[in-house]
Amino acid sequence: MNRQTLFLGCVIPLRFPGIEVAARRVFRELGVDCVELEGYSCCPEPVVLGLADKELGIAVSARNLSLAEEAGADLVVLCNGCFETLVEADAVLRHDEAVRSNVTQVLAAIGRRYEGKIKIKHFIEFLHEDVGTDRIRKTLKRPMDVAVACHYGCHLFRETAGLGGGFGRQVGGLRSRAALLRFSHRPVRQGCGSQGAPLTQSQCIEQDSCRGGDLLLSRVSEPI
Amino acid sequence: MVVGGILVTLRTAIAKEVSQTETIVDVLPAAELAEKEVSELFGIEFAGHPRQANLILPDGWPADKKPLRKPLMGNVIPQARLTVENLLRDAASVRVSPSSMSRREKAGLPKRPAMASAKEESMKEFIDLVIRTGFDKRAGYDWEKRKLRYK
Repeated sequence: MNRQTLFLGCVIPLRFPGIEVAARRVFRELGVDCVELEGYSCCPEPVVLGLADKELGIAVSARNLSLAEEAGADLVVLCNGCFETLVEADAVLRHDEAVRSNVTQVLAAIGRRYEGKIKIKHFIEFLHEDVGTDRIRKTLKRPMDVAVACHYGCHLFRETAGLGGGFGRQVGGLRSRAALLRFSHRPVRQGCGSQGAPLTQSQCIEQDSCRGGDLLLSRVSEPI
Repeated sequence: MVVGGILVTLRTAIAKEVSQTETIVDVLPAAELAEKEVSELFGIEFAGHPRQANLILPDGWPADKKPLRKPLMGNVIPQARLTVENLLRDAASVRVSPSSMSRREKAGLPKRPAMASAKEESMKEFIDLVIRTGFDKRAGYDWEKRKLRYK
């Protein structure tokens, strides 16, 4: 638990570095040794790129996973989209012999291999399951009595078609964080309407996520 | 073709960058000339087509010149093209720009995250991976200009 590889993705370190800073500080406060994933690439982006070319998508994901495996620590993913992509790629590589064989050849050609020895966890999943609310509570320096509305983001809940996946398994765990936060509004699973979803409506898995941010904001405004 | 009095139209879709499909001459001999015409004028190869010699173009016509072929379009939908160009240039879905580096410095972080684009060796490995999947050809990516060959 004390040594984790942090997968930052592209958008967080390049557009919202404050999130990266916050995650690193949380790791430091919890005594987690953060292993840098040197040479990683885009996960790749799950909606636009993931649908555009599956073969490329799985191969790029597999390279990132092989880097994490080489680093010798489990992978903690900060971004919902990256989490979905990497978990799905890992599931496909475990269950689809044809894809695994093809990807293994491509990886071997660039001197890499992925054997599925690492666990992939979302940052909040890691906090909840590995760290635990008790330890987090002990680490708190300035308890804040703030009311929050929680938006999980839709990528966290998508399932890999035919492979189970189980992103939704975290719902109960996420809600148990209520021990640390006071939820003033009903948690929503509405998509934010951002990025790829509105662009690829015909291919979007979760049609609700295509309705845009307005609907999300209207839902968030529903008090408990 | 007509099957049992019903007019049947067969269609297939392939990426222009791939430009190859299978011939149906073995099941529909009349398709021979149509396939040959498409092959010579548009550059679509029909694997297994029996006729080698040119039908329309003169002998000695350059093999890479296809008179009716429009600029190549790959398998990348318009909305994904910028993201794809970013991916193949920086191994990231968004640009590693001066403003992003400045933003990171202000946050007290190294200018560049530990991504492939920060290390020549890793970037070469990433590009090698992309080429080995054949995506650059399917997408129609120009490595010299570092962008897709279409907008």
